[in-house]
Amino acid sequence: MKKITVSLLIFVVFAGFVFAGGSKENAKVQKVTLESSGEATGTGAVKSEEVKANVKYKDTVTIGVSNDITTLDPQGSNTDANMMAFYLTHERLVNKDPNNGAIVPGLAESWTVSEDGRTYTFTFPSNVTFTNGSKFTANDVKYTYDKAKSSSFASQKVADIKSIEVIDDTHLRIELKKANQEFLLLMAHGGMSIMSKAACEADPVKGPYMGTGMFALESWVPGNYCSFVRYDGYRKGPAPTRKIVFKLFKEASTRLIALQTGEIDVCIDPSTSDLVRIKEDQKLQLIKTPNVVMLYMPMQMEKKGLDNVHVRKALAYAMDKESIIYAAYDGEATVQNNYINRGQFGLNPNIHVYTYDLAKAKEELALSGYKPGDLTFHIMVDKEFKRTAALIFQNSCSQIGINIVIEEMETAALKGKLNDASLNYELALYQFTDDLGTDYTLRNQHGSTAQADGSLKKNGSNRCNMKDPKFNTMLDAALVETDNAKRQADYYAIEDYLDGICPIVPICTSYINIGIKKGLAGAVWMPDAKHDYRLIALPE
Amino acid sequence: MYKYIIKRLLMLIPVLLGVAFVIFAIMNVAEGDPVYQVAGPDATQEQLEALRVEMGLNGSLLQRYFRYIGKLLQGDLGVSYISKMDVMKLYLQRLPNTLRLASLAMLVAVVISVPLGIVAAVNQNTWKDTLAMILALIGLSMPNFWLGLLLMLLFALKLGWFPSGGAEGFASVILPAVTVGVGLAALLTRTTRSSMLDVLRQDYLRTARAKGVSERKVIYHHALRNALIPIITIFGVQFSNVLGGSVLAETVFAWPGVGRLVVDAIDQRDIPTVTGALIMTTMLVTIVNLVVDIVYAYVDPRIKAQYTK
Repeated sequence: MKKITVSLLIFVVFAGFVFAGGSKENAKVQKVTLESSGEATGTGAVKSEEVKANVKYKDTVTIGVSNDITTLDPQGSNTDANMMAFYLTHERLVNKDPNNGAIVPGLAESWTVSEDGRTYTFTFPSNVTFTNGSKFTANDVKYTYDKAKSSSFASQKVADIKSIEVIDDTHLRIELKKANQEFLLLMAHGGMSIMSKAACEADPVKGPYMGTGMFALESWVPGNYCSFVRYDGYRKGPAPTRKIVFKLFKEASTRLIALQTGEIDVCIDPSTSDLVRIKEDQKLQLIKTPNVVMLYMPMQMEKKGLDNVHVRKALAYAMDKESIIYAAYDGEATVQNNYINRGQFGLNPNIHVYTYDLAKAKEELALSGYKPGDLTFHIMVDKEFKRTAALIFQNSCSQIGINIVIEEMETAALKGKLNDASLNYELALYQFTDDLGTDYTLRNQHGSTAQADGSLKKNGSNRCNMKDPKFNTMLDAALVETDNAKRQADYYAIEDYLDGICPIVPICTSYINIGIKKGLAGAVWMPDAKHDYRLIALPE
Repeated sequence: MYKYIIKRLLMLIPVLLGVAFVIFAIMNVAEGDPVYQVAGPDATQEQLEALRVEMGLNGSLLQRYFRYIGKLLQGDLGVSYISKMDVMKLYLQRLPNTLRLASLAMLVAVVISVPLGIVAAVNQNTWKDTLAMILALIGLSMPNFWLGLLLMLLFALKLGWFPSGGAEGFASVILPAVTVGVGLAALLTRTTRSSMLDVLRQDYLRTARAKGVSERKVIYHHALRNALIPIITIFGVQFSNVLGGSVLAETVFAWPGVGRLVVDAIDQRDIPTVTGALIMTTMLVTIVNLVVDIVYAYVDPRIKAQYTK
């Protein structure tokens, strides 16, 4: 009897191994081409259907998110999760139109720009109030921008402001150190949300949480949920939904099940292997749009070997982007070759492409003076899909005689190493989501700043440690150019210049996937994942 | 007995000091400067240094440790680097959820394991014994996140009986408690079986049967009571573990418990939250162990006599 029982158990376990396994091929066959739903815009943003006046909408919309809200201070963070909250509670002077990327009025109803492009005069409505009912004045803008100068998240955006003059309660003048064609774009960033001077001075921690937006914070339990209630005194009329709740579900499967059971109305970032389930569910709809989260490999240009442009080019030619997309993203990504993001002004459509070509990689290595086997580089990765990408890259490099050692680490450790002043790393797989001004992206990612002793210090997100005065000069010239055609040509030239130096290897961008209940209206799904929920509504 | 309890409570102080030091040392050795988790990419060197002072990261490891102990003795666990919330408040927000989950999980474990272990022991070497041990092995081997997802698919999605996640209402704790409880039941079942087997062989039970005591009374009144000591020991250890947080179950069910609080804080290098939460958990575990020792005294009068010596 015992022998029979043991044999039966072994058979059950064996059968489990056989039938439980799946294959990549099966997964590929099952992959369904999923179109984006809703109205796609020129910038890649997808708009849900419009909110209708004659429809009764639910009191509360619950959004299942994968990343926690960590702060409600607009100058305390720049993560996507936090930005979505700032867009509900605060306003900025201007906004970026999701349809075409143009700058449109926000808190400021109009503005004028001086001929030399250095002075902006803003006019505000007289009936703006904060969500506690207190009156907004131009002084609150001055306070916010002055405060931003000491914020490690916002200071770069106000670096060009020379002075701010409060003319009266509804008028403000900002003078810049030099003309900046992207100044308004920077002011549209979530980190430039206007705060109440009185509230911040009364409570430096919670004061920044309050803005002039359509919603106010109701309750925040870190690691659990964050809820916002409608501000009925909003000057343009109240939002269609009374309450919006962001509920944290770290596990993607749980998040999707919660959508399927109806516990949440929106599921942000379901697992790619589960997208078919959303498509097949008659009560649900899949929103899919290309995102602007670019995976790239920075090369620390002051490290031995990486200080040689031919070595960097060899590594670029050895990057098999298609295979990385297939293996690390289940095919759900698009190759990127530019140094700025899709949709940014001045993206060069004719940029030279470092296509995957091991023969060219070997030629570049030969030009460098290094022989195959001479070079070993360490590449840092922090997530499973990046590890997969690194393995593919390692394999390619081994075929051209460059040894790649993969160092896996936690995200906090990776960030620490990249930000540490010692710059003690060689390669990494990292990502950036800038889709603000082209100058802002290029300056942050590749620019450097002159120090008092005449040396150059790399800028904040410049992971490749590039310190090139010619590049800085080209950037400065493009920033002040008022002729758009010339400015575009300037940025094309800058991208060509970068391509010749090859400080990073752009790899790919993937997709934003969102599962929603059918009929959900009013939301705008942004390619930078900072979705606009202010007018979100779900019919009863 | 009271002297014993007070002595055990006083021993908590060096334990907490030691735990705080170990956590401090580990978090400082771990890669990833906490300042970079809080500061933005535009942070200047001056801003980083100012942040270091604000976060209490200036000075040597010992200096920071003693600074922290000074505040701890005043009941101040510090402020989270990330959310800027008081760590005690963050912990107390999560603790009731963890207590609910732990209590119900242990109840599930006991309800499954004790009867199953008794049946296995009483019917040793029969098909009932084998089946009970197979079930225990399955419970021990099955990854609890997998079980959790299966339960969620069946009871939340297909049948709609329970919510899939969150901590609202009593129904939301059932699935996570069963998920955690099944894993705990496995070890408890084997312990119950082996402890009962030891006791069932004793002569006094043969005497009881000879005196005409019913089999039911022999097993549940005489045998089980004497078999309880190891069962209570394992129960205490498991309850302590669950109080520390069932991270996998909490993640699968989006259960806002202490486990996830600590893991998320480690990911973000939020040292005050990690240290504070682990110190509070250490206190709780010590109290649970003390309660277990007191229960021993009531189960077995011989042990009570030792405490009063």
